[in-house]
Amino acid sequence: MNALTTRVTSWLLACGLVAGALSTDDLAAQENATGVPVPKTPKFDTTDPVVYGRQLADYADLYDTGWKDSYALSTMTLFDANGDSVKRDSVQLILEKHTGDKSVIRFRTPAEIKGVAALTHEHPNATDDNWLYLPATKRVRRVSGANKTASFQGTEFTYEDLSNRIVAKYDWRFLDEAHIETTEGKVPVYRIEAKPRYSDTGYSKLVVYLNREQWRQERIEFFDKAGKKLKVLDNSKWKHRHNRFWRPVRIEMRNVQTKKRTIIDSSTQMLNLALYTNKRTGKKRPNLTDKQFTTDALTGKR
Amino acid sequence: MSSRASPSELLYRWRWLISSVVLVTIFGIAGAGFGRIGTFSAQVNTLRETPLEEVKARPFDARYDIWFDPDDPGLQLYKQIENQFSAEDFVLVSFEETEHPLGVFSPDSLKTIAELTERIEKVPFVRHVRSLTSNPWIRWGTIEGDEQGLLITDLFANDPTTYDEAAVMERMIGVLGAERSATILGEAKVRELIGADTPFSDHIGEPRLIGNVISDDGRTTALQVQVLRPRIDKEELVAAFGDNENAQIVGGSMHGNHSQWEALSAIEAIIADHGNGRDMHVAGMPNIERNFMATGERDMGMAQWMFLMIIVVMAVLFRRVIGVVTPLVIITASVAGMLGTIFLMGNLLNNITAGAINMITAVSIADSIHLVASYFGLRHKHTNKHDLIIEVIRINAMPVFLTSVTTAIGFYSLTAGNIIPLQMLGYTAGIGTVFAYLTSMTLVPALLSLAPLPKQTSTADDLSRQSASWAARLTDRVLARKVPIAIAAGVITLLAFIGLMRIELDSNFRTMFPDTNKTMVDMTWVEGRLGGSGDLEIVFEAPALDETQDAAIARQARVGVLAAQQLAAVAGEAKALTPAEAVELTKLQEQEADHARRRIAVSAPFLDELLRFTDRLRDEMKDPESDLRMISRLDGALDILRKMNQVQNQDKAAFYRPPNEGDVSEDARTPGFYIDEFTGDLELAPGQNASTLAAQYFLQYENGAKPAENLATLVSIDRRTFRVQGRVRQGRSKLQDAAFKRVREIADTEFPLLTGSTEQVEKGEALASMTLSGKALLYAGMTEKFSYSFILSMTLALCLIILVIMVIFRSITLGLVSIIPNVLPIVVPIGMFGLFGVAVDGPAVFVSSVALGVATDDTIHLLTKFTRARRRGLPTADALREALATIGNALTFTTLILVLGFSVLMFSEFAPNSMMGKLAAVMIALAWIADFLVTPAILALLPDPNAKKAPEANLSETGVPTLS
Repeated sequence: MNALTTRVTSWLLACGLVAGALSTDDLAAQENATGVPVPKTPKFDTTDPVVYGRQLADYADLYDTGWKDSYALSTMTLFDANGDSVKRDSVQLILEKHTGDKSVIRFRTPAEIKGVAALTHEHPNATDDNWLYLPATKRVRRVSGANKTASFQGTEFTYEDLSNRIVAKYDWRFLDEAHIETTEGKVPVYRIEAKPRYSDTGYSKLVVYLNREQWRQERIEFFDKAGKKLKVLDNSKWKHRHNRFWRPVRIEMRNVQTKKRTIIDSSTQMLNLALYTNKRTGKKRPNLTDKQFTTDALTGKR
Repeated sequence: MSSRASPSELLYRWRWLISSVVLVTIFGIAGAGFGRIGTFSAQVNTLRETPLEEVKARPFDARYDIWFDPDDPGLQLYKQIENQFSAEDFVLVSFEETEHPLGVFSPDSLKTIAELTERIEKVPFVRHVRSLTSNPWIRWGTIEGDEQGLLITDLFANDPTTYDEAAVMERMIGVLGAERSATILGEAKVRELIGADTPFSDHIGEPRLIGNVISDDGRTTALQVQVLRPRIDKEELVAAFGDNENAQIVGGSMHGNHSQWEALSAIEAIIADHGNGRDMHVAGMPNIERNFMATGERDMGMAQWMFLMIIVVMAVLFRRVIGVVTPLVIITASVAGMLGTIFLMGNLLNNITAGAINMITAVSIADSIHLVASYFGLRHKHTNKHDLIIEVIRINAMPVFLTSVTTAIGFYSLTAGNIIPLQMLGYTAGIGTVFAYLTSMTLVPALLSLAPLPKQTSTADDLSRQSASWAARLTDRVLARKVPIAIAAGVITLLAFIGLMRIELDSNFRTMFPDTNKTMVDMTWVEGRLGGSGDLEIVFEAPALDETQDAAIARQARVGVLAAQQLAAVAGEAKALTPAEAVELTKLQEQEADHARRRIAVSAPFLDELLRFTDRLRDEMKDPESDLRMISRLDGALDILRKMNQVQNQDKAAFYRPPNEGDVSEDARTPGFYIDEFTGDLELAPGQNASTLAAQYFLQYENGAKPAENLATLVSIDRRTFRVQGRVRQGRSKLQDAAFKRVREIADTEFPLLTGSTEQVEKGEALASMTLSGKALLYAGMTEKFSYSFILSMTLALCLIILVIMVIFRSITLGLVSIIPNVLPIVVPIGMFGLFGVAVDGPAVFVSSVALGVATDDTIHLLTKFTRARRRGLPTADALREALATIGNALTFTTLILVLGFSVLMFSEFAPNSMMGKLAAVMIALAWIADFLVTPAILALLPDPNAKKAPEANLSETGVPTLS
């Protein structure tokens, strides 16, 4: 067992998680097991900050393409300004699509919302489609997804924050190179400003702190329509999945105006499911398919 | 001078050194104090992310919570609400459209609303704007193609001018309902839009918006702007103010207030620029608070006029530069010393303590005038300035000291109550009294020695002789009518006491400001059309189980595992539970049920009872006879839940209620089990009921609402606290208080399940406990506490002062007699208000402590001179004549100056201050009457020890201490 998997395993054990059937042995940490090569770093045009910013965003996006699908067991912890908190557990499935990702989020706790499931079909150039399944009515309801500024389950995240940030939907501008303090120490970053080009947004701009070496978003600052800093998102506890894709285990969104915050800890993550073995059956796990992202799939299982 | 010089001589000899030390000290303190305010203001500014303005000295503390007892449960709840939900106030921006047939749904109105909404939303510290164009419109409708679904969007999600008339009318019906819309559009039009078969009663509109962002008749609209009091982290406070906790508290909330007011100014600027020329009206608590601050600051400016008035009166009376300059120097030095000291101690001024400036002006005058008047009065006895001034010091040192002590007692008695601004007023004015004494005794002799000795035949001297003659003549007349005067005084005082018992303290934001005050005019306008602009919080809560969240989660997980296994075993797909496991499951399920019922926001029994309660209140709120009429609306998450249930049931009005068991899918009611596709674990599918459906509806709502509209401000995240918000009409605090009491009464008597004690809820005997709060409630409740504090502090002060008089004059009789001139001036005016049923503004009565100080001053001066004369063996009548002749001018001058000085306050546009000015003027005038008429009459009625005795025999009987 190599160093990384040891670390991952012991971390999972330390967290006391039900890792039972979810094997982490398949994490091919030494080599890129995904078959998706790291794209060649292009020659950036650093003369125009607008061009440079867009190039950096494009490359970071390309760098994170090809992971196919993902599964995560997450605990959301909502803190009010007092620091009082509540936890909600959920499972999230995502299918990577060129035409827009598809995702399902299903709640596990608290008991009264166990089984509530939300299905989203993202559309790069149109409004996303959303459905919600309520176990008490046993019905799937189409819900209007026009409001990307809607809060996600009362957390500090909005749908806008959680959906894939499509590069073309923003005006980018390179600001500067900097170092920021993170839980993993000092990290070199590009600071890039992103102004939404779509109208249904809660923000005047975002400032993205893009890691200069790993091409991952370490931090994002969100500015409200008044131009005041509203929220700060910090990604931490990074995992280098299959030695190819960087995924944070912890996402923390702090509202600097109301001092409320939400932490999402993804205790168990699988990226590209076909690279894992189901320990219970001993078989390779299949990749997710479109079938799992339909309204029927939403009703079928709770 | 001899080496055994008297203290008066020493004081005179070293006057320059002493004066310099006093002045340097005072200006040192003042400089440091004002410097501290500058530093503090700069510290406050560091809390701002982008300081937009220069640092202005901010000596004014406008915290709302300073008024309330920190232990007040209402205040504590309010703080808890601020911490748990958000610290904010709402402001209503309102206008009307009377011309267009569509009312505020006219394209032009909608355009204005949309533009204002968009711009105001961008104002810093504005958390959210809810308006006709921007509010969650929850409905069932077509989403795409023929796919129907739940829609939660803004009422006008796009530019409102792009909607055709039918779409606008559809929205009008959505908001106002079919019936109200029919009165605007006509029945036929509404029928056309909703279909011929649909009953009007199925289109109830949006109760959350009617009477809030739109009036019943659709003619008035409002933007409800939520303005944050920004929350400052402890670390930020420490960074700004260091370890000084007081500065952290005051500075933190000052930042909050100024941020809100900045937002308010920005909103006003937007209205002016983008209101499309419409007549706009703004109402809300922040406006009122800013109004208080603004008038408070303007009133501080009135001190100048009081100064001017005093200068004029003194110039007329003394006709000497020195007679004018001396008291002014004393006033300036005392006030500077006082303000410097309190600023240095880390305190600021507020609406009440700002009054200390006027009060210390009065005290300084009283102290210094006696010295100046006796300087002119004793002129004819001395040829040498040096001797004259020493004599002035000698005869005044003790009375001025004593009057300072009693005045200070009057002020410090205010600290007995539990109202912090009054306590601060007590400390502040008490400090000022000390400064007034010190400066009077040191600077006055020095200043007097600067001026040339007035000529023997000076006007002042004439005045003094005149005084002797008029005072003596007056005394003779009084003594001739001593019995009727004493009886009249007794009757008046008795009547006043009867009135005092019936005094009604009240306060009313409306009448505190003149009819022309913009804030009040706007508030009245808005309240007349949309109802109350004050806030009421009704908070329901259930205690948490005594366990950690992780323990609760672990229990839930364990219940899931065991219950799923139990069900699977029945189906033959798993091992049966062991008996021990079965027992464990039963026990855990019981705990789980207990845990669930405490989550009242998602507990059907609570929600049903709450619906009954709010319906009951809403019904009575419509009754113009009921105390509840002061409350104009109630809002809460329950209404969202009702709407969600209605929308999920073909929008039928009958479903505008919390979900019940019948709304739950039948095959979902029993629990089931399944194998998780990914983990392979056996999982429980919990049985569904009305409570779980409520929780799921809430979740569904939050999925669609903007963050600012989500449940976070209505229901705590652990679901144990449920907030119902009311709108209260501004008006007399008595009426508001009665409304709040009525809410409690209805809850206590008719809804005991909602008003259990924590223990009862703990035991399951009640569903929740209830607490009321809100700024309107806190302010209204304050008036009652004022009465208590007032009576407490006045009683305390009187007892102490009488005790001091008894000790000084070593006479119980004199102590008792002194009650009359001290009490009468205060009791009579206040008692008259009670007798004639006029309500008095709470804060105004506190001017009584100043009046008490002045009245006592007069009495002490009178009694000092009286006992001194009697000690020389004079009979009562002669002693009175001499005493009044000696102090006649000084007392009359002081009275005149103070009456005119305080009269200036009458012109304050802030009613309590104006009332304070009137009361003070009347009380001080009455104190003069008491000392010149009533006290002599009563003293003359007492047995006269000197009637037949030789003068020498009484030398040691009633010794009055003097300095020499």
